[in-house]
Amino acid sequence: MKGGTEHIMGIGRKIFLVAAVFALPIGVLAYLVVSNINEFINFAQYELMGEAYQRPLESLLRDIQNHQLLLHRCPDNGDCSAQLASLKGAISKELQTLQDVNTLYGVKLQFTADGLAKRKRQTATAENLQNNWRELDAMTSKVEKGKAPPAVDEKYDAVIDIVKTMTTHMGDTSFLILDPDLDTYYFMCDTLVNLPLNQDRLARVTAFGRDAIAQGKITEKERTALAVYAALMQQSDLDVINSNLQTALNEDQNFYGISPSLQKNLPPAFKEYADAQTKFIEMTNQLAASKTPSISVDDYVAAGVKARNANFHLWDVGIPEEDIMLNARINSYAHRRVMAFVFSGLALLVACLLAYGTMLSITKPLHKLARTLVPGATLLSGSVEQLGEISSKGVQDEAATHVICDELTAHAEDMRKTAGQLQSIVFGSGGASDDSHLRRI
Amino acid sequence: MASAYYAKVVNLVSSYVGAEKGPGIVERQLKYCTASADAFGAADLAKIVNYVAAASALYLPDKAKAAEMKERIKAMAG
Repeated sequence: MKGGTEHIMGIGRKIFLVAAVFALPIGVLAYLVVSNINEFINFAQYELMGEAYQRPLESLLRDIQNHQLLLHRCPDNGDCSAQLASLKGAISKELQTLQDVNTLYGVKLQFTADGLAKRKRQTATAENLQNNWRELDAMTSKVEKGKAPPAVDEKYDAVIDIVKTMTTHMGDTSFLILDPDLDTYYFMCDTLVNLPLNQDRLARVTAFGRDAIAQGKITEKERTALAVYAALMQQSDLDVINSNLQTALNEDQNFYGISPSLQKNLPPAFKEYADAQTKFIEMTNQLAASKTPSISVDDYVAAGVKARNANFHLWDVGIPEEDIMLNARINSYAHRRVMAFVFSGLALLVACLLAYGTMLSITKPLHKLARTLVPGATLLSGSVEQLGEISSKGVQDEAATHVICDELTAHAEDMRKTAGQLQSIVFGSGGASDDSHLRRI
Repeated sequence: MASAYYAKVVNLVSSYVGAEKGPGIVERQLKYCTASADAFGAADLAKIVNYVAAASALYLPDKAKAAEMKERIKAMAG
């Protein structure tokens, strides 16, 4: 052992270590804050994925049910074979688009065997939808004009059910259904739930009313059903959609600033939809009111198709607006993440500077003390040696003695000052301590 | 303000005993030549050269170094 000092860490390093220990929580907290922000960003990105997935599903819902309506009745008893062929082509393209979107986001949105099985939705796959559509297409190709058997309608229902289940699954796994902001939440309620629900209902009510009118006489049971449909389209669809959109428009300013395009584009699209929907509800109520239909099949179907098209138009206008709102949220959180990094970095820098300043305020006087004490030891041994020599010579050397005394006195004064500084370091400049021993030096 | 010559002497002594002690050692010997630091010259150093050397030697455990320093101070004093 060499004085037991070979492994002792300097006080500067010790202070640095203490500062590092206290800086560690800043780093941990910064990590947690950034992780939290990333979760919010990730959440919104999943919602965007969900909207991308819903686009082809909505197009399929529109075109498959339009195909069904046309197969049953062509307006003015005309020939709709060209329109049916066009719709068939559009549906094939939309199925391909769905396959592409599924390749991109299918795994993330849990359109996997495991993800679907967990929720008992094994049939909700793009492949299954495509296969069912091929089967339906084969069935419809054998149908005589305007004479679709019930089995064909059942197959249409099965295909539409797959589309609806896929929409529900996408809404759950993309977190759209859990949207955390008021404006996008109410908007999502319409684009994910209420508008598609109304789209499907409009197709079914249009078909129901068409068949009832075609009989020439509407039964009591059918009139009750029509009255119920009209009430549902008014209260469960139009009123709820209106309320949600108004809330979304009102709350828009409270979340990441107002969206000018939302405020500009949504109201006219909604008005167009509300007018068409109201007109169709009135016609349905009119049918429900009398045993003999006072509306022609073509007029009723045209009103239903118009309301449905206006609904899809509202959806088409709304989804890009929801994308804009989600991107505004992502940008806001990305900005917050940058700020979290900047402020954490600044806090660490300030902490390091304070620690460095504190370290210097401690080590500097200590170094000075060391520089005073080390020569002091040499002085003492040198003085003793000198005094010994003077004594052994037996001669009074006044000058040498004076020099030794002066140096010892000066050193004692240096020691007193340094000890005072050491005391200040330990107890602070106003610290109370027993310094009588220093005064005795 | 101390003379340049005085500063040179202080620097020489400090180079042996350290900057903490050097200035004080030289200053304490001024009383033996009745000169001030401002007007300190070679003649004054000649008067206190032994005092400065003796005082400095107290801080130098190496006798050879002490002797070398004394020679250099003497050389400065001429």
